Amino acid sequence: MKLRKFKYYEPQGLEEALSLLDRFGHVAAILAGGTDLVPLMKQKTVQAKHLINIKHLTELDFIRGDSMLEIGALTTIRGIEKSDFLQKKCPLLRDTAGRIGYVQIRNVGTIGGNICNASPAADFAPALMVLDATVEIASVDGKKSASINSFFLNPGETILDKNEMITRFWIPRTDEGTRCIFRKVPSGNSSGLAIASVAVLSSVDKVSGVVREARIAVGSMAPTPIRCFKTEKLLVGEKISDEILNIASQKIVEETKPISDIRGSREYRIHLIKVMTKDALMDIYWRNLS
Amino acid sequence: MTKRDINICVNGKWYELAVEPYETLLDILRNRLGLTGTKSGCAKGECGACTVNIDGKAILSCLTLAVQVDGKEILTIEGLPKGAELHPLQESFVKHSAVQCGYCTPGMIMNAKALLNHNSNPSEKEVRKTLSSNLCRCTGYERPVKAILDAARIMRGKDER
Repeated sequence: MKLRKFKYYEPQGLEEALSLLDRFGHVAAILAGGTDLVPLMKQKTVQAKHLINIKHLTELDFIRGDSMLEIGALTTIRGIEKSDFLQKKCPLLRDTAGRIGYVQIRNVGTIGGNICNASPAADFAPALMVLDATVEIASVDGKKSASINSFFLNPGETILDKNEMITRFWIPRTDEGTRCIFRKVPSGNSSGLAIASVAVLSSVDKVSGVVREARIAVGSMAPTPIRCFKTEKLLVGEKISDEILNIASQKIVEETKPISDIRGSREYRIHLIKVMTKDALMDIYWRNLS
Repeated sequence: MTKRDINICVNGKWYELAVEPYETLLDILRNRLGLTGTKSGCAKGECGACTVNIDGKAILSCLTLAVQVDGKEILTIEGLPKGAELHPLQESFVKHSAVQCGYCTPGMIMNAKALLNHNSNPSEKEVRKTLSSNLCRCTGYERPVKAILDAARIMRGKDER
């Protein structure tokens, strides 16, 4: 499988990259790790006349922050998986990173690429959604920000304009007593793409067992990763019980639009998401007690 | 004039090459440098046959553009033996008959090499997880898993001496 010809650029900094993007954005692609882009270009799904390799934008490779965590768009998946800093500050992202693809992909793939390609199966998406992350977007006109929860529009389509790129993610610190879990059933082939995935952030009162906060986001269950706001609302204020978990898992099915494809049937996805969500909530509940 | 000059170190030797931006590292290794030990399987990042090490980490050479590895150190299966002496991983694959048709083997060994670079004592589970990205269509994974665990043991012994 060969790549079609394209013009190639290696901007030395963000400003130069953005100006190239402004000039060629409508027929250009940004190359970060290339683990999604290169196969798409080989299959001619993406036909870029100009390829902008942003490898010199090392200023976009960082993990830092305190009350507000910041992760640069060019941070590799492996860098997040192996980050001791995140182990303390945001274990959800670390756990999620470890479940993406396989090691050869994680070594070069980036968090920005995972999100920008807007796959319904992008594993970082549900995690960032329950964390209420903010996306920093840059263009020649300056910087702006958007909630990750309104970032995805369709498979492969985001709110990004042709001359815009993601530069960083802001992740607010979660409250004391809040726990997060990422669950995923990967497809059998080596790509490990999610048949279904769910991220849950929740806090449950230790004494009463009442749900104080619940955030749920799912992957591979709709044309984009989505937050299940209705299910969350239903859970808050309720005491954890088999009954409420059954009602909540049914609500998730109502909020999503799973399809049948080569990775799994609609019915299987519904089954998985119900089991995984219930299991995640139960897990948070029990870990809270112990 | 679309070609770009890159400098890459392959198996300890530096090369200056003029490459087209759409050439992959796999193209360069096999067609320019004649290093055909690295295999092309699916060519789209699913089979692991093209795995090589860059700066000690496993990557897929079919998804990596040659221009992306400018200035990097690349290790392929050809760079493992020391003269006539096979690398312990290669030795162990032979000893355990962990090869049938052999097409996936260089990718498996290079992935295992990268694993052992940062984890000299991996569990069987870790080895299995690592090998999950190398598709083998003939013989399965039992013997490669044993071969890698055995090689790790032997390499640890050597280090201690």
